[in-house]
Amino acid sequence: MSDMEILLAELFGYQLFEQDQRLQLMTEDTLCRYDDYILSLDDLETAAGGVSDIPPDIEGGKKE
Amino acid sequence: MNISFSPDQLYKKYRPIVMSYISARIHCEEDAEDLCGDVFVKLFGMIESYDEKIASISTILYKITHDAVIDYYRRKREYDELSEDHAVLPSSEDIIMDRERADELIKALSKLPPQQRDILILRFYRGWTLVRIAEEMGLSYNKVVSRQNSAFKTLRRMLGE
Repeated sequence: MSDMEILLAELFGYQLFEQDQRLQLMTEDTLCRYDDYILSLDDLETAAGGVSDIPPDIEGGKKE
Repeated sequence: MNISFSPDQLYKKYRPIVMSYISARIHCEEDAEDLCGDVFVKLFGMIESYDEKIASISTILYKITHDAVIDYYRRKREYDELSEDHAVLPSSEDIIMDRERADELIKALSKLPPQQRDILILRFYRGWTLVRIAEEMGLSYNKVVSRQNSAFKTLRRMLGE
């Protein structure tokens, strides 16, 4: 792996722990276009104007 | 101890995150599970002296997890005499992300042409191969490689490397 590949892999590892909002938005934007991406539970709750009945096991998850 | 979560709560909250990080770097499931356990043993060993004002739990956990993966590969190399090709992380590249470095990289990523950024996100966040990215984006493999390399070049320039 090149230095840049290692750096990018580490950035997304870091993102798991630190959750930078800008990177989250960029990631969601990409996944919405190329992957079957389920919005986070918070987004669904906001959209529904209340508590979602989505089971916790897919909270913030991505459809595999 | 200056912390608002019990060890149980910390484990439940952060275990999936720690496992995601480790599993992306160590492909032996058993070793990944062991390492995840080691990370929490270390965290819980530090918890008595932990002060939330100095660093968040997630920041400390990131550092412990990162170091655990690096140590894992160092031990592997030492005992299994693995070549550089077998290791995900070269020994000389003990890269750990800090807020400042992440900030620079995120800003640089945001300035990339959208398609180049998409390729990097699909590869490094989603874990797709370049072949799959080419299929999903409707591009040739060579074009994806070329755009990825252009993205690397632009990022290096923006980061002053």
